[in-house]
Amino acid sequence: MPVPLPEHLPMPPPGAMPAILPPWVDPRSPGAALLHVVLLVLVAPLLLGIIARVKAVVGGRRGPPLLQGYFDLVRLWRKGMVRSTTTSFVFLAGPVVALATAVGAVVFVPLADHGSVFAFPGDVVFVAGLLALGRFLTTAAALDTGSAFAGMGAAREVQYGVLAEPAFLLGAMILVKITGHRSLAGLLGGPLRDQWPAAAAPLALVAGAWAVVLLAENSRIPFDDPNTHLELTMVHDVMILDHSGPALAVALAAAAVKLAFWCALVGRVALPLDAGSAPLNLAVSVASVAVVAVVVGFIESAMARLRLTNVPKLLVSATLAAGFGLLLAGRPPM
Amino acid sequence: MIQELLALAVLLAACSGVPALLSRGPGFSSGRVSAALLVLACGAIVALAALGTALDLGAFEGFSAWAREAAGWLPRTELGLDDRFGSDPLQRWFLVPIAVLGGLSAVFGLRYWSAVRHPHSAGRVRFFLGTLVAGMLTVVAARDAFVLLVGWEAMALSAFFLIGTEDHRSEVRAAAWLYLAATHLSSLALLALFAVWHASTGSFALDPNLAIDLDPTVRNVLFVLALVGFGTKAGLWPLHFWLPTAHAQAPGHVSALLSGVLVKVGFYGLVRVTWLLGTPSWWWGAVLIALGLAAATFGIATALGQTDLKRLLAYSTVKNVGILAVGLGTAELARSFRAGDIAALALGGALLHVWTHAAGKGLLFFAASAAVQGTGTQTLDALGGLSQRMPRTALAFLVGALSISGLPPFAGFASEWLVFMSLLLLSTAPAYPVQVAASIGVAGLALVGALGVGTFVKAYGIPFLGQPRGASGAYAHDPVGPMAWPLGVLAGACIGLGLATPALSVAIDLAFTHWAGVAAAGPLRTLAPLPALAGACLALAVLVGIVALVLRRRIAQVPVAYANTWDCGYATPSARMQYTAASFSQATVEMFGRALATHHRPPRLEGFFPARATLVVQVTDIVLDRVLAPALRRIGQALAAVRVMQSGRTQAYFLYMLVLLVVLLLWRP
Repeated sequence: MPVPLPEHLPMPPPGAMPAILPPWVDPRSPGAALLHVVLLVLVAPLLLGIIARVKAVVGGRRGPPLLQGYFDLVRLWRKGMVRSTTTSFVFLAGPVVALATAVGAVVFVPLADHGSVFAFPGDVVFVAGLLALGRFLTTAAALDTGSAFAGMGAAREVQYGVLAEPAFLLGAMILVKITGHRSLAGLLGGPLRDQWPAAAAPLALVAGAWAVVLLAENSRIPFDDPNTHLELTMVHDVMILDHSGPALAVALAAAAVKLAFWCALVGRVALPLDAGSAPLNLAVSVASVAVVAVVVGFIESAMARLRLTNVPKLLVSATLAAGFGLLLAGRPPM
Repeated sequence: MIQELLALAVLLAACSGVPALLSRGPGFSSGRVSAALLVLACGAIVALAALGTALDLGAFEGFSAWAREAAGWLPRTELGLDDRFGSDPLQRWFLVPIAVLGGLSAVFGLRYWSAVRHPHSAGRVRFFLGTLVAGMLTVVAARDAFVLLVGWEAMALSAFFLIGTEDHRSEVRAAAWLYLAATHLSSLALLALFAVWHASTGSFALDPNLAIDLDPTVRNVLFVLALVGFGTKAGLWPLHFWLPTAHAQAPGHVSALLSGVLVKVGFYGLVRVTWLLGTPSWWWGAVLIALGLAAATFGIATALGQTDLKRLLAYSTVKNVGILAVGLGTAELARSFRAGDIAALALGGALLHVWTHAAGKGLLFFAASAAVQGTGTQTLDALGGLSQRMPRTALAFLVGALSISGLPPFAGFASEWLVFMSLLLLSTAPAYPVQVAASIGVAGLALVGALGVGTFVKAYGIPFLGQPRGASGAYAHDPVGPMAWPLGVLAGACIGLGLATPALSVAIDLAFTHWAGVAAAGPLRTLAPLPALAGACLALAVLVGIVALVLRRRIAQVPVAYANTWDCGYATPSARMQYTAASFSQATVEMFGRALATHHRPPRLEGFFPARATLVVQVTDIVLDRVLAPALRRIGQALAAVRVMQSGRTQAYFLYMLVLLVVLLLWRP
């Protein structure tokens, strides 16, 4: 037997870290939590409409209808499909897994104060894994077509992912330090708003870093311009260039749900407002998601796409911002 | 009793290759006999490990009392095996993957390295495969430095002969020599380690009670020697320099064994020494975490830049050893601060990673070997579209790639998740430097994870998807018979291990309690909610299934036309227009700047109608090619003067000996 430890000492001093695990299914209102998931998935295509409308209004145009995202999905779902003879089952697995992982990620996001449908300590890393799984199969499906352009998009997606993932997890670590939880429901749940006065600077840095990651992960300006269809410069849309009909509908739905996931994440950190009652809080939460979409629309109106070589710099800045936030959040104990 | 059976099984494994070695000509049956013997020995090891675990957990209470009584009646053996061989929970945990992958490798090699195709080397390969497995088992089961070193040398030399199997190729010879030099370095460090151990404790027995009163300086020296000796074998950066070439040049089923478990034997040595030395200094953990993060980052970034399939897989092993080191380092750091929970999570993650990586890397090397054998090349840019010719191999490779990239719901995710959990907990520790270390660890592992996804998208996508580049894959086909079974078994393990973590955690708890000397605050599955994770993984699989079914039904209802890939209006896209392996990784590799040395040899284009030209882009190893090779070259030049002595005349050498002996006899201190 080796030298025995004198006695077991649990690491964080009592009180520094809540030992109670957040419940897997929030007992207060599992129905409400489930409603949030449905709401977030259903509202996802609307976010695309909001962004497009903001850009149109800023540009002095009328723009497409707010519900254009839904129209597109329905139209594609009804259409026939053209499939490349080069492709294998991976070609269809790409959109399928992308949608499943995006919906899976949304399951862990708490809206309002109801907790989330499913939560366990460490699920924040699981969510990062889900997004990475989606990225793996989306890029593999792109390579499956054998198209040079799809390969370019896949290479860029991998490159941006390499820089975005540390920024996401460092941001999550700041929240872990501030709230003491290790699940998304705990990190982004109601109590976060009580921390804002004391930890405004690190929380603002998390919101900023995650906002940059949002733009990169969803191929928005300044990382990619979803409106230009110049294949040489595209990221996400060039990877699904060969998908058509129902498969393209699934791929676009996956992209929309992913956008909703990120908007909700940033919205929960940046705007955890308290409206007084549970139904009002729900409305405020959903509104905060829409507000993030509006902000994305303004960013897209105000900026041009970055040169490809400058993209890594912006993402590294996001990681560094999260690093500074971590320093601010984890001051040595007095 | 278990010790005796264990020793017998190891002996059987060591001798299993004799029938194949003795038979002349393409005798398929002698190879079968050898493989069957090795599988039998390995099966026995797994059964013994399971039995030992069951006994430790208190199963068969009555039976074990009866067995102990019966054993008392048996005549005592004079071998004294109890002092030399053991099967404690930690040893059992490492014995199982060695035995499983060893057996599968023998089965795979039956057809892959058949006596018909390789009449000269088949017997030799089977013989050394048996001794390699026996050597690894001996190292893990040893309770005595002598036994450990004997097993160590058997393992090291068997691996040398296996790496040099195709010794008519110069690159194979170079790889084998480099390996031999590295393994001598590690043996030297281990000799020093056990010499110091004997000098300070007076015993060769590996007993932690002897280490209690050791001087701190001696403990530090022992730790550093173990880090060099075992770290070299584990391929821990920067001592990994021998690994990629060796693993890329060995026969495929041997590569699977080398990458899947041999490096784990080195890691086992580190775990064993930290167990032996007991309470650590905090800097041991810090050093392990730092080296582990560097190993993981450099390993996977270099892997991403590779253009050779097996080299890519080998560099990914360097990354995974890094993750093991981060896990062990976190456990040591936590233990030095007496934080049992965090140590349990971190070591549990590392131990689980030993299994999940063995399954994933074994699967990837088997599948890659089948592809390489079918096409005759392991250059990524000469392959393509193999999933049309080898659909089952491609599927197996995909499962292995997803698991090794640490993606849910596959097994590789669960082990990395545990390491993440320990670091997340460590980041809330009261000591500020520890918080910083944990934060760097999380960011580093996130970077490594994302790079891993890119690496394995490339490793799967370039050779298996798209269109065939060139004619190399025209006659490739899926492996059949015994060559296909290991793929199925390991693919099942990559899926099943992830879901079985709540059950496996019981054995991990035993191993941790043995390692730390005390039990953690609770079982691993409550420290980290493993059942919830398994449930989430299952739910994810169901969700993917539902979406897939819905899409499939819809596609069956709409008209589907088939056409060329839509290459932006270009009517006749060709296979040569596809993105290549080098172009896929270029942008990401270039972000690392000078830290990753890319070797460019641009094509020379002259005149108005230039002739055929080639472009070579290769990411070289920064340690071997930038530091070690130039340094060794310079040392060689400096020592050129000494070469005068090497005349080649035997008489001159006898003269040197005579002079030396006279000098030694005259020299009396």
